[in-house]
Amino acid sequence: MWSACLFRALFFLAHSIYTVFEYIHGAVDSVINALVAVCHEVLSPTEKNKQLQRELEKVNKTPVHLTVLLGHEEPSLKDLANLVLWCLATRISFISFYDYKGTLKKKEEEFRYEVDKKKSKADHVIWHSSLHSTYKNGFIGKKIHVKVLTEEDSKNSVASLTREISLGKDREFGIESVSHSLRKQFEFPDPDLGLVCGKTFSLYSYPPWQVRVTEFFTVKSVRSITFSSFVEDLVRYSNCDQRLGK
Amino acid sequence: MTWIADSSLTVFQRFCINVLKCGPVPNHIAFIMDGNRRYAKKTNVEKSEGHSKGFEKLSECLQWCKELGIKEVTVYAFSIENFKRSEDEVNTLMQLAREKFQKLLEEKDKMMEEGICIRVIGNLSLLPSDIRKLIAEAMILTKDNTKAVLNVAFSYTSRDEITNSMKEIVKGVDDGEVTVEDIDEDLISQCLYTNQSPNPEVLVRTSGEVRLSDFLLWQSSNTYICFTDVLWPEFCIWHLLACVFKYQRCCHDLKKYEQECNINKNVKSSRVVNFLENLQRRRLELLAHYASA
Repeated sequence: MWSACLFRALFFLAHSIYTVFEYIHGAVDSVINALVAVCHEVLSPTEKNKQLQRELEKVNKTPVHLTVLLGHEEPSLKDLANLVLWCLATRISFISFYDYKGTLKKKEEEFRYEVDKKKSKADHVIWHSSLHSTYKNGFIGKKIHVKVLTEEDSKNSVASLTREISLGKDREFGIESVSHSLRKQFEFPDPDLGLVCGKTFSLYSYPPWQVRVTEFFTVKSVRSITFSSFVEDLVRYSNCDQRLGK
Repeated sequence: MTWIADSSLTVFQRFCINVLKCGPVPNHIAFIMDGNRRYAKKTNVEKSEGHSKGFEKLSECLQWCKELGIKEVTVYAFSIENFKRSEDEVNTLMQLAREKFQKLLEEKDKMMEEGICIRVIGNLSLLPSDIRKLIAEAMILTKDNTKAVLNVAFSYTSRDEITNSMKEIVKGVDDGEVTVEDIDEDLISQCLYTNQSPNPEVLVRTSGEVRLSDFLLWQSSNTYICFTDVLWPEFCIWHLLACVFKYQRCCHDLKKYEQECNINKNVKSSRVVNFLENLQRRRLELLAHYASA
């Protein structure tokens, strides 16, 4: 009896200590970030650029498709729009946002407006959604494809492909052809890098077929991503070594 | 080295397990046992030695899970992609599997006594016939055990599993067992190799890689994913306890999400129930056929 009480007491103690530790860690982190931001303000713009340039030189491979998993987080449009711009700057061609709650999908118009406001005239943002396509031919300059994903794009798309196959005649389908058909529905290549927001690292029913070899990094929140931390993630990504079974 | 290791925990480790058990403990945990070859390189031994060390770690780890009250464990032992490795290494790995499954059958009294159910998930048709036979025998022997379940993903990839499930369903439609309207994500889940298991609550990958590498993609939609830097042969009980501890911290988040998802769960029609029973029967018949080969 007394031992059960002791175990319970220690259990709560351990978790409480961890919570306090986590809180202090978070506080220290934000102080450091604030200090770094101040230092950057003090640095001359050229010095700042040089520093980033040095970091960017370390990036020897960038993801073709970057995907952001929002988790439980409410989408902060301003910060998401920044991510789109940074992808443009680092020549990432595809970015998608996964919000299982569907909030971002509802706010898509607003999100577009936010991106349009920030981007330079020369850049071209191609939205992939049911609303209306914005594809233009003969365009020169940087371009990026953007897509907002919801749970509808997940397991459901595999089920609907199965229905489609059942109604058709082809019975000789395999991994290749399923991949091909799902790719057509998904429109984007499989994500190479996934940024998972929040403390809980889970996929929340992210489209399963597509994450076969996606590298996942966790970030505290979309709000906490700065351009330099984004570049750090890209450096880390370019150091990931894919063996593909070998 | 046997499948069922004797418990070698210290008093302090046992004490910590008891503390941790005051909170939620996963029922089902999955492991990507990565890093055997890097361990071999690091310690200057042959690759095959690294793989054997990896197996020893598995049996130890199963013991820890048992102590913690984790009933089901799924491990990624061999991917279909691994067939691409050098012939030498593939042969070594197959030989290791042959020995281990043989050993398992030799230990069958212990297996039955402990009530361990072994299921090998994967595309068995790609394996050498003698290994397939051993696997089938082990699965048939232990199929009614319920105290603990060990799923071994062998000759497995998730995409292969999903495609296989789709094929079963399309065949079911062609044979008139189910209709096109019955097809939904639940039905696909029910036709996977893992259809008898709940989804894992925790997935652990060792050796610092941060991808799923075609493992349980469908089943880990609501799983806490834990990437750790340690190489699999160096994985120790503290790493496992740390993963469970971290799971306890986000368990609430995951439960909340699960509840949100389960609102619209439909009841299965009798047609679908029949189809699934037939599928299960056919799979058992195939196993019996492999075992008698």
